Amino acid sequence: MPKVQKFLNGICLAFVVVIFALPFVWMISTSLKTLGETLVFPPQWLPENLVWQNFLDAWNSGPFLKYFLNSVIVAVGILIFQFATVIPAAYAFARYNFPLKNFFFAITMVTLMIPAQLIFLPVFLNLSSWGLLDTLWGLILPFATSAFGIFLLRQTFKQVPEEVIEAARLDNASEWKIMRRIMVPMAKPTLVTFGLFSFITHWNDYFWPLVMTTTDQSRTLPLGIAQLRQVEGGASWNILMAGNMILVIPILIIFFIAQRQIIRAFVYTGVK
Amino acid sequence: MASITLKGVSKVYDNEKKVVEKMDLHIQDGSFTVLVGPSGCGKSTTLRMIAGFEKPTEGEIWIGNQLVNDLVPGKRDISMVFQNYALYPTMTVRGNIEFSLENIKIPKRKRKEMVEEIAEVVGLTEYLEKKPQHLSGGQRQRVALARAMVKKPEVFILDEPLSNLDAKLRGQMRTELIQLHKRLGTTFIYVTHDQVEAMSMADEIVILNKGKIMQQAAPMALYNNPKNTFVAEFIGTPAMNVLPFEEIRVDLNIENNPAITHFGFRPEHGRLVHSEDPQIFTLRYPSKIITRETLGSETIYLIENKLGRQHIKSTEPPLSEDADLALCIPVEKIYYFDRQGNRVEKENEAFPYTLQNHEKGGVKI
Amino acid sequence: MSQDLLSHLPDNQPVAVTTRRSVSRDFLRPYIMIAPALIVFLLFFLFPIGYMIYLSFHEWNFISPEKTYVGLENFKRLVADPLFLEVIRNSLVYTFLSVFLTITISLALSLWLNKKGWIYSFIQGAVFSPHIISLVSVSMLWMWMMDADYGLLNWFVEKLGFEKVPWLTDPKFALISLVIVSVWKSVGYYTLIFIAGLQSIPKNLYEAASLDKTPKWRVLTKITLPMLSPTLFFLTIIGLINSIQVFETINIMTGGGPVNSTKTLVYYIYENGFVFFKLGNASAAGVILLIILTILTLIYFKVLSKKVHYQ
Repeated sequence: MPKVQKFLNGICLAFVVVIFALPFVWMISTSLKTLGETLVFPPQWLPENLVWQNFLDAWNSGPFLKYFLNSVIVAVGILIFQFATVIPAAYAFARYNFPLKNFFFAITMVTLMIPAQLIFLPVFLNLSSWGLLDTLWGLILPFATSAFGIFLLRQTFKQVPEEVIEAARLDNASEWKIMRRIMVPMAKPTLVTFGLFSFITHWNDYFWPLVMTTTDQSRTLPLGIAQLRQVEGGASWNILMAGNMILVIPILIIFFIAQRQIIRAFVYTGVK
Repeated sequence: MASITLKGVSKVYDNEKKVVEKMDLHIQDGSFTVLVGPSGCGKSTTLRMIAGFEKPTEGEIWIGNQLVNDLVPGKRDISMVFQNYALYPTMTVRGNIEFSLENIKIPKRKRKEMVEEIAEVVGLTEYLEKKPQHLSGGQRQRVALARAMVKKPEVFILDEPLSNLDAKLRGQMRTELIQLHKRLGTTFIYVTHDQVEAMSMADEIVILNKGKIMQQAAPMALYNNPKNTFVAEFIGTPAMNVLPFEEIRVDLNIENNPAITHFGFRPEHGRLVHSEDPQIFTLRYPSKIITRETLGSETIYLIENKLGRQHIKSTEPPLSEDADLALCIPVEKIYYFDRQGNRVEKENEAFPYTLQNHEKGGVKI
Repeated sequence: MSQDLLSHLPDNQPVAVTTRRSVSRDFLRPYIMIAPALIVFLLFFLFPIGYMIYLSFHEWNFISPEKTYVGLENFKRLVADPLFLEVIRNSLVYTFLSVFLTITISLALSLWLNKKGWIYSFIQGAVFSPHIISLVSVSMLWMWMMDADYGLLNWFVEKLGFEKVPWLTDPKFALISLVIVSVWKSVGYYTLIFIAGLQSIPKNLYEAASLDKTPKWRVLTKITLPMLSPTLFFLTIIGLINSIQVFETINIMTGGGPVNSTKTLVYYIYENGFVFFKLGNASAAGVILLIILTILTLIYFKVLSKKVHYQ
């Protein structure tokens, strides 16, 4: 590339980074400002002193420990349930032939296409008649399995050579043991991919808890953060941004540790 | 140890394709039996039915004196070495060998002992804690063998176990397998599409084609007495030359004989002579060389004459390609076949009486 | 194999026990394995869809025990409701604008950023990062950025010589502002999928083209874009499906206002169901969303089966 072109390319790259990274920088910067520093125009880029107190204020403005624990329980609970239901189902779809298999798999594929935004109303009515409204179960059970996970893992299981399973059968291994000792270890990369996808999705989820909870007993972190807006005296942006940092930081840490797997996980959902 | 018997076994897929058809097969206790045939001949299906991965559509499979049709693979007391080894990729070599012992609940200390003994036998001791993907092809092969041997099975099945190895290693493993069979004395069933492998290793060869047994016999018996053109053409490289009978019928002074339609002779039995050499054979045809492959110890010619094209193998020094040559066929080395491709042997009443004279030698007096 | 094998093998181990496995257990096993997943699907996905369709033909306010059958009344009322028509209009404008912009920008980005080197993989990561952040944080961050008085965005706008824009408080701008947020959040995700698509184009096509001295723009229009068209079509459908369901950003940033200018279909269902308790009405709107999604999904599967066919 000629030098001028290279320079222009660099400028453009920098511009793209600014567009996507600047909002985050702005978020961090705001979260460490005093209220006064947020209310100036033109905006002040950096805080004079770092006001860590904002984080404590955000945390203490509601039962955030409860929210945080609820979020952890819900995201991890969903993950455990999903592994427990997705692995056997994917294995059966990949490895066994049985009457009505295609019908059941079609049901799975149809479910893959049904978003929460379509069915929240009737599910809400069901949960309320089962007494599960405003409980953590109501946040976990509807996602106790994942059509996407079944689809993804089925592909992986299908790629295991038939001979490996036959060898294990000759070695007197039970079907359960073949799944546990041979298939699941071989599918580990896919399980990690799917696990990251599921955890991030449900950690971030705002819609479902918004609709299914009514008290702080079962609210999750995103909901608690969103409620910060409604504190009396109006929104003070430094506290709001500090609150959001609490929500974003765990995800960003995971992203830095496992960037490649996460990108794989999310791009997979697109290229299925 | 156990013999294996198939009684009228058929396998039909999708109600149509007969992969194996009414097969009767007896594999002797302690023998090294090779199932060989072109791809799609049903050898893999036969093997998989013996191992229990496929259920026969009809017929009975016996291992020793037990009917095993409804027995799951794990209970048949069979070990198998797969073409791609089928090692458990997430387990170490030790884990791979130990897995079957673990499944039949052999105590841990005993297991450790057995694994280490076997590992020493196949020379894997220093690799026990490695994962299969860090091993070479030959080492993986040994893991597969060790895994199969450690169970001490009644029957040992090997499904094209050498096809993924390079030529040199293949030769070495062939010898080792023969020795292994001698030591274990277990029944070996070995599947391959390679007739050289079959000839060199087997006590007994079963040649399959289109789901049927073409012939079952010891290697040299197959070579000397093929029962049909399929076996004749399958065993030996290059294949036996099989040609229409009519041309030589006249030359041999035989009256029209509807029972025989084809004749054959092996490339190593035909002789190329210079046309000025004295005429000592009944069947002698001026020929020209089309291609010549010099392999060092022997030379393979593709020649053409009024009979058609034939392969000739000779251990004599290579002949010049444009030499003026003639092909001589010793009459006593000729095989006769009927319209269906079945051999017409000299005990057969259809065998031409006049040819009996030639049985003592082809030299015309 | 130099040693005598037999001497190393234990003689008296019970190597195999011959028992038959129960046939019925074998037969039932796959059903038992898929049962938990299918029960969840049935309870929380399929049954609710049926229930929603049922409710759409009834009138119910959630409190009274009576559900009155009203036939197509709910649908008739919807069609006659000027608010619902505006909601549909908003949804369509939002959906088409955000899909069009996201696809165009991410396609351009992917053609540009599909290069080797740490700089490019860093930028790919940066562009993607908004996608894994909670919509709550994205919404609140942009609310702050779009703050009319103190927001960063208006500072840029003034620097460029324009007047401050009332991003979220003016009906003219609010929907566009939501589109901007949506594009910012998902453009990186689309870019990476396009890059994956680009990388699956066989290299030898480009080598052949360079041997033929094909000009760059012809390589783009004759090789790259046609080879990318399955990804393009697929992302368009996915984009439409996702955008038509937009809810979170609206709920947090505008609450459907100002003057209903950002009310979309899912927001309408939410409001009717949870604020006004008009469950029949909400269900009827849900059925309309179901129909839209079904059509998009059918197109999606058609394309998918074709894509499989090509490979």
